[in-house]
Amino acid sequence: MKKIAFYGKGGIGKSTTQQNTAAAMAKFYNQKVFIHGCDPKADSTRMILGGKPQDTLMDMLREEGEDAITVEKVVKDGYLGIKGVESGGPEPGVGCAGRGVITAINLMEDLGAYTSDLDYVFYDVLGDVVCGGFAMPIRDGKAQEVYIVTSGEMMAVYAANNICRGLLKYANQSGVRLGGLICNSRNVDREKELMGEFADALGTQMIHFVPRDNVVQVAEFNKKTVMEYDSECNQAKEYGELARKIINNKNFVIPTPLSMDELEAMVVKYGIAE
Amino acid sequence: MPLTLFKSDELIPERKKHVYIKAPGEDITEFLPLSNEETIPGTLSERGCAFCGAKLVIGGVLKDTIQMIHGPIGCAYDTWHTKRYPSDNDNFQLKYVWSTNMKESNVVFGGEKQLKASMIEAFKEMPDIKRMFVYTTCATALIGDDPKAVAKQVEKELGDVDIFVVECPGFAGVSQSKGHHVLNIGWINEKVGTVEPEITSEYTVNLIGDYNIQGDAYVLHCYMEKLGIQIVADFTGNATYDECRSMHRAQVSVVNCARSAGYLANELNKRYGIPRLDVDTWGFSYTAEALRKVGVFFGIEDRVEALIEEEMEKYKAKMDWYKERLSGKKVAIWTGGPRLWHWTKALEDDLGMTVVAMSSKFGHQEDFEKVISRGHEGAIYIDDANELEFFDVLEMVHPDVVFTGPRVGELIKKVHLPYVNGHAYHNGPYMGFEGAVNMARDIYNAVNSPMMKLAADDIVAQSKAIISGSF
Repeated sequence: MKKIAFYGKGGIGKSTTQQNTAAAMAKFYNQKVFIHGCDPKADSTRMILGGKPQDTLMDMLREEGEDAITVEKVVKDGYLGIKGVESGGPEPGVGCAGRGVITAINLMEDLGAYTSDLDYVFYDVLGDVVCGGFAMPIRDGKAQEVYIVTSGEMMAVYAANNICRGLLKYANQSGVRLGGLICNSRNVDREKELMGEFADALGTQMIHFVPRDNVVQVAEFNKKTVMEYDSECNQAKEYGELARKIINNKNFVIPTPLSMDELEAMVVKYGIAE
Repeated sequence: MPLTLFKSDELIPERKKHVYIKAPGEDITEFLPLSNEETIPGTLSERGCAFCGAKLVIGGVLKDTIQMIHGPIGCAYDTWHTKRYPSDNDNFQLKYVWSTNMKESNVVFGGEKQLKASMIEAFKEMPDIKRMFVYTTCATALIGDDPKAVAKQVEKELGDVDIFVVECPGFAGVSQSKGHHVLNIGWINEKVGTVEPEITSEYTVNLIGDYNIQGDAYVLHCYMEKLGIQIVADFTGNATYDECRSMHRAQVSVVNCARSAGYLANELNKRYGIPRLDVDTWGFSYTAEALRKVGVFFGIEDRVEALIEEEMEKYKAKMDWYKERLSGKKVAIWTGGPRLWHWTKALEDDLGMTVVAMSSKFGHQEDFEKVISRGHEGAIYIDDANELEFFDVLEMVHPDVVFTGPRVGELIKKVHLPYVNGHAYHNGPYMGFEGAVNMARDIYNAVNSPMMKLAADDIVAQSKAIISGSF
């Protein structure tokens, strides 16, 4: 069983990418995948479960108490048997979502939810690595591989670099490694080139360049992954490729994050009009 | 009506489910108070937190271990010098406590650096001590510090130390009980089996669930020595860190406090096949029974009878003296949980007293099953009693003495009722035959002390009356 964590700037497409990749893994490669959403918005499994809002772990903890929680109550089966659980967390503006992630992951481990028949466990973590709690998925014994979803946009690159700084600390402690950058294209000029240079500078690879395609949005509006919506379309093949690359990936590194100056110098090149 | 709502609880009627008065003909299949639930808002509860259950009750007893509390200073300070468990290591565990002294900036920027520096500094300051327990508290658990990772680093760097991390923030669970559980399970998962003991007898036991309050463990050790039984490990009275790692080599676990350490005994049974033998080590007749049980297990019944006879010679007459004078007196027990079922019948059998009311701060369903089975009809059983309920109870059953802690003892002093310290004793030890006599003496002194009667005198009114000539 491999445990993988997906990080990246808020809104960059982590949940979308993950669910589509999981669907591709299940459809084309017969893999058993478990998605553990680590976001108080609890939107990491929406397309796998066909839009049904899932009872979150934290909600159940609050309403029924620790002893009443069972794996059956919180882990749901979705498209192609992909399993999903949502940590949940507080409403915006209150409480501590980070602690929610810690509690949720501990609970799943105590309940033995990550069964040995699984091939992959995906941790979908919100936004950047913001507080200690959100680094829970990359602590010792949890995710060994991290993929950072990014794009050629300045802010996304900045965030990816920042996440690498957090990763560095944990890489030394727990052996977690960066498996690569997933470029979720925003049709930025020379995006592929920038990604390639950025990945090199970090010491990693751009594992796949996922082109921008409206079918992703259309499928999402229909509460489906691209695979379920139209398994013949080009985007489905792209996710299939990403899935294959992740399955076969052997390129795991401790990233070398850039300093602010280095980062600025790098992007400035791509900003100069031709 | 078995489940009762006290007048003082009218505004929090949920309390009714936690109060049970045993009526004739009822048994525990029909009625049991709710227990181990969220504390009801509005109730003046006596409960503590999970950190307390882990550090104060169990971990802090170890005599050769640095107690590193990862959090702001309050958690460490308020659990320092508050217990009475001595040791033969010059009471190391009573003298010191360590805190990482988390401040605001540590909360914002993370506390792991501070933790690591504190751990190394502590080991340097105490060069003879090579073991440490690290506890998380509310602050450090919230910010996602990973003390286990830090502990690994320190162990690697220093080379000759061993560290156990307990993640027991105060907000977890509903009471001290959560802390017990977390510590027990963590210990057996990570530490039991990592040290091999030297076996010196053909009879070996673990003594589980005794914390050497005022020397209780010394009493029990004495008996075991006389019987030729080796105690592989105490969990954790007068114990070392390493002996508790070697518990997997004992032939049987003799369990006194099933609430705080029953989990460990169960896991030792599951994983190593070590049977669990529950005993009561308080109570004159119970102690004899406990020794007999151990004797039967090992087939050394005659040694046990010889020991019991010896002890009876020394102490039976004294117990009888107290029994004569205390028979018929009424007692209430307001403690953590297990002492309710350890003492309810013992006080009746040994001293002829009647236990009229009991309250448990953090007991579970099994504790109520045990105490209600041993208790008599008409007794009041309360889960997580609040302070107003205490006064209601006093009015209902008029005990002559209450076994409880100093805080509640001060409370009932206002109505001129004596208490005996049920948690840490007045003049202990209270375990074993000699302990039962000590306990009886303290009860006798409490009940017969002229202090309470004198305190009830209104000397202001009296002097006024003298002056006005009407006295």
